[in-house]
Amino acid sequence: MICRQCLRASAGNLIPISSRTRVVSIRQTRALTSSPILTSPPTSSTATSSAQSLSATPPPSSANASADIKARPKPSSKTITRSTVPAGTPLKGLALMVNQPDPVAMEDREYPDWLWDVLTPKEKETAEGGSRGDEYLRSKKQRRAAAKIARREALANPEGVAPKIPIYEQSVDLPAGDGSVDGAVAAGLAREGLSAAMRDKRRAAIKETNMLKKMGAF
Amino acid sequence: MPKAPELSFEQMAQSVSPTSHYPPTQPPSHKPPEYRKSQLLRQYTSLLRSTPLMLLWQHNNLRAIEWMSIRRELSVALAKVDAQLSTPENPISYAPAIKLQIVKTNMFKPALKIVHFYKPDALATDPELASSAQMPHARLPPDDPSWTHSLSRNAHTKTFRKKLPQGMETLLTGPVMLTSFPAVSPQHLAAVLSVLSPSKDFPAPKKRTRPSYYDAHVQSGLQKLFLLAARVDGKVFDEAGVKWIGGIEGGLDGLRAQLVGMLTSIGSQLTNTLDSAGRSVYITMEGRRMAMEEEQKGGNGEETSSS
Repeated sequence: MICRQCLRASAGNLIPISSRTRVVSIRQTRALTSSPILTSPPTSSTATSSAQSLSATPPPSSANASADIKARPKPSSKTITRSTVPAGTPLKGLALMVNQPDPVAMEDREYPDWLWDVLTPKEKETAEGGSRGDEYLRSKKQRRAAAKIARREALANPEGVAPKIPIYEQSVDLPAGDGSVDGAVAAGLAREGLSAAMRDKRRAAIKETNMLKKMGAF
Repeated sequence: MPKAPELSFEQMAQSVSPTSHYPPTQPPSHKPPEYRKSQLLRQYTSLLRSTPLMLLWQHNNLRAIEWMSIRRELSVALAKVDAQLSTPENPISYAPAIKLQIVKTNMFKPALKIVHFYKPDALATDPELASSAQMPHARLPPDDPSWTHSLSRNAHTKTFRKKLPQGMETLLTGPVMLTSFPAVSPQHLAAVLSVLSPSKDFPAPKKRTRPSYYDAHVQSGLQKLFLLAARVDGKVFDEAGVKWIGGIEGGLDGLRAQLVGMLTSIGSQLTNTLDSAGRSVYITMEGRRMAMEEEQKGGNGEETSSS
């Protein structure tokens, strides 16, 4: 939807004006920009000078634009106009096919919600700089950090690391009550839970075999 | 002399990370724990340990709709008993916990043996110790004596040659259904008996109050149910014993009241007996004194008359 060049251009908000104007002038033929108009007027002046602009999306993720992002208010209400083009304007040069007419800009609310924050950088999940998925990242440093977190968690909570066994495969004793009525009732509930789990497993197996039979696997 | 390697602070402060051979929820089992038989054994041992009172019935080819109708009637009757017994400060709801359950006798027998004959000390001690005792020996072989759960090889080897507990030998043949109670409550037992096996002492609900009890499904189902016995606190009671328990008026509190009444009546009888001897002595003495006084009076009267 937004071309790579436009993204690069909007990311380069902090580069000197002279060079940016040059970029824009080069891009005149593409006739599209996605630089933020509502929130940063000084840059928008150059951006609107380009013939057509699709929308003022939030800035893309880039290291040098991060200070700019923090200062910017988040797009919250749907009533705020975020598109720089009024609805109904034909967007020249955006047609993908040769024999297709140019697409026409729509109302802001007709675009999906995810469009408006698709370029906002995602916040890091943990303070230590890594989620569980980081163990499989390419960066060795991040992998090591994630592994360290996992080790620390394992040390703090040994039972959490133990493999989760479904109740119908456990062999530890079920609660046997403590002689009181409440204990007996709780033990009964635990037994019912086991029965229900076994029943669910059986039914799932039946469903699976039925499906495989229908496919002709058996 | 070679110096021992220095321990880091973490190694000294904490034990070795328990990456156990067996997960804490899956200690080694004699039979594979994913078998249905193993899971049934787990359930039955829990049932036998947590249920102080259960009734055993023989059921002969009841249909699903008959089971359903009987369960419905039973739950209605038990809810009535609950409502009668509960007070605002002490609500009683045993009815949802009183269940009819068909058991597989071939797994119920070993469960009975395990519960009766296998009592490792770890179970008898406080639960805190029992739960903490599982982690350290997570690497031990399956037939190590410190595995003491019901599915363990120890439980199997120590019980499988034993005979069934006394009174149970003949009961567990054929199809068996259990009625399990969370507490020994004679009133609830009486309600169950009056619904499932009505008799003179435990009359069935009246047709006027409970017409659905006289549905064809309920009645045909009840004809196929026979009371075998009861198991109360590990002891087996026959049908007469069950009726005696169900006939205790006022439940356990009533039994206590009877006992107190009996003891006080014994006391009063004793005091009466002891008192009676003294009283008779007193009466004799008093009679003798009266007689003597009269004699004296008579003597004096004679004297005065003579003088």
